[in-house]
Amino acid sequence: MPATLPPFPPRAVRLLRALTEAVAVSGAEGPARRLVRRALRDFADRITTDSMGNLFVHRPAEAHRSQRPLRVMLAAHLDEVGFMLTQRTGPGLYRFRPVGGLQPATALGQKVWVGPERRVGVIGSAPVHLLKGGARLPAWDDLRIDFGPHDPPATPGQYAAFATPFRREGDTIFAKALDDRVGVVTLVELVRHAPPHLDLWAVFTVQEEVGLRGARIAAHALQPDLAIALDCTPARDFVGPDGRPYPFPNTRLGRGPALYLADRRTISDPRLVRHFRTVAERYGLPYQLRQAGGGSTDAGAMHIQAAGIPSLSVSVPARGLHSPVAAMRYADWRAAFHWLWAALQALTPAVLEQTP
Amino acid sequence: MKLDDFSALLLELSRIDAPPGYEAPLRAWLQAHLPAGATARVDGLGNLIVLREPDRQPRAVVVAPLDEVGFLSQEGPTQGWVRLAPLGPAPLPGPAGARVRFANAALGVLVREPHASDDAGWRGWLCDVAAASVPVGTPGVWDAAPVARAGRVWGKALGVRAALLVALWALHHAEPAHPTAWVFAAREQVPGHGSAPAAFGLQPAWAWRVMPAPAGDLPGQRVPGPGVGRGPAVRLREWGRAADPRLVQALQRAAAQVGFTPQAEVPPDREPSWASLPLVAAGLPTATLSLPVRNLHAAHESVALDDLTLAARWLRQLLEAPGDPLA
Repeated sequence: MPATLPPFPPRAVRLLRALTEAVAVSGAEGPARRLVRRALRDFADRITTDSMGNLFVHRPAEAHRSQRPLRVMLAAHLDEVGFMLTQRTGPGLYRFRPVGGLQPATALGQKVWVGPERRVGVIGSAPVHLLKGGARLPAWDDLRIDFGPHDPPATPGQYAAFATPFRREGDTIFAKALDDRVGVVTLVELVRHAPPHLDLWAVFTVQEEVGLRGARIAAHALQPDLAIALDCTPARDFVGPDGRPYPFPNTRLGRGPALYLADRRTISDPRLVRHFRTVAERYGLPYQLRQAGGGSTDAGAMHIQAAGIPSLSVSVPARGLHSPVAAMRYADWRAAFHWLWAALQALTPAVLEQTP
Repeated sequence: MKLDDFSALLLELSRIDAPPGYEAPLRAWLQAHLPAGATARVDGLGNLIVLREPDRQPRAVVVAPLDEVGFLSQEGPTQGWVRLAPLGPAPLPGPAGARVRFANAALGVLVREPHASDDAGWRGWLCDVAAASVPVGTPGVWDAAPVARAGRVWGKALGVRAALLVALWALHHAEPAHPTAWVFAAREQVPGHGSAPAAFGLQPAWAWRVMPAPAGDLPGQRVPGPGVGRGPAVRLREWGRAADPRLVQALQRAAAQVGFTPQAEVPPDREPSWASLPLVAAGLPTATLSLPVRNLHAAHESVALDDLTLAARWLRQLLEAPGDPLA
């Protein structure tokens, strides 16, 4: 008889709102880190930050257990894609570069928040008829962040993110930086509901969007028995202009959280895949298999650290990632939390004693 | 079966399927063919690590691949069709009709999708599985019956299996001058190379890799490379950086002692990978003995048995040669 699933509390939505409206671009994750630290200060034995900025939250196993508990690392990345101001080119005008995977077309005409204090700027561009060589899509050098001529000067090196307020419409959540603030909030809730038999390390990693850098260092430091990345993955379930479904859907909204079998950097550990699928079936939880192919998560760095760490990724699907606004389904998110909670509850050393 | 019968062994090994991450059948075969007294363990990534002297810290490690390029099935456009995501550098099949067999015993035939653009890559191909059920995420490999003729063997995964056989033969026959571990590396065809974490756990002083090399001896080939049937090669560049010159010299010395001059393999430059052996721990000097293979990673590769025989003797000589290759 499976254990009763815990409720997914409304506070999770409130924290997601706060986190998605923070500016925490790769390399400057402080605002998101502070929100997580505040949310977990009463729930962890130890909260520390390493030299890169990874936030470690430790929930040790109950002391009376005779068997050495499994050391489990759960990772969700704090950072989001965004921009860095690089040069003042005129009164209130700044050249900038992308941080992480962004295209100039997604930035064109967008409002941005700059720095932790969220000063508002606008990304403008030359009008289409003045773009060089008849090009219709701008390059990064064609774009500027415009604060207006009377604004106090900004500092090159400051970070900016899309200025997108959080919004919920029924079962759908629209926000920026769902990748991976939805994973971060899920992990916060898992820490609050930590299973007593595991030596649980929740790591809120940095610089995932620029090469999985934080997770690499964190996994090397912890050397856990296994690692799980909690992330947000693109759903490409559109209908094309010809009225036919997009042929490479990756994932679909509303079909539950996505389990990775393989991506550009990782092949998920088959034992963990079996465990998660078994648990989902036991609880009747919806899930989908993410189409194998490109992309990567923190698991790509974690699984090859030290002498090898069995790893897996679970993601909430969302449309419009790495753009000003993404959309995801609340039900997919809640199912992801329940799935991870149930899988952790059922996780024992026997899972890893099978042949990989 | 004698371990010296490379032809029969290659035919047998080519029939075993081991796409990256799903190497269990080949690992089981290897575990049944280890020398008496060797101790073996499987690490968290699926690498098979073999020690002949388990009480001694290995100074050298011999790495050979366990996996072959493969596929994972993806959702297809309609019933009876799937798409394929390659696991590893599987080349596009060229003319339609290549076959793939899946872990659930289903077979599929590759068909070029009508109107696919030239740069569509694997997305421009569909796999016709007819009435078979191939759930999303089912691993698969090329389906190609191996054949041996006139000193050559043709079939799928022969390059990686030849490298594995050379390493296994040396495990049976060499008396290494230094404590040596063998790593039959899982996931070696994909970016999360299994060999690097295995080496991290072993902490050796240097590493010898045995790997297939894409042959560069086709008529009209603009960038020449090692030729099939002309002996094994020394790889001079690895993961975007030069192979360790001391180990390259040791390979060349050992070849001279066996009585041949190895070919030179200089792979195209590429981005250095931080998941590679030379960057393990505080740095691991590495060099590679490579075996020329035609159509590497395609459905039908071909290797020359003479190259294998010579490579096996070369590796044994290398391991038995006295002295420290890093001195």
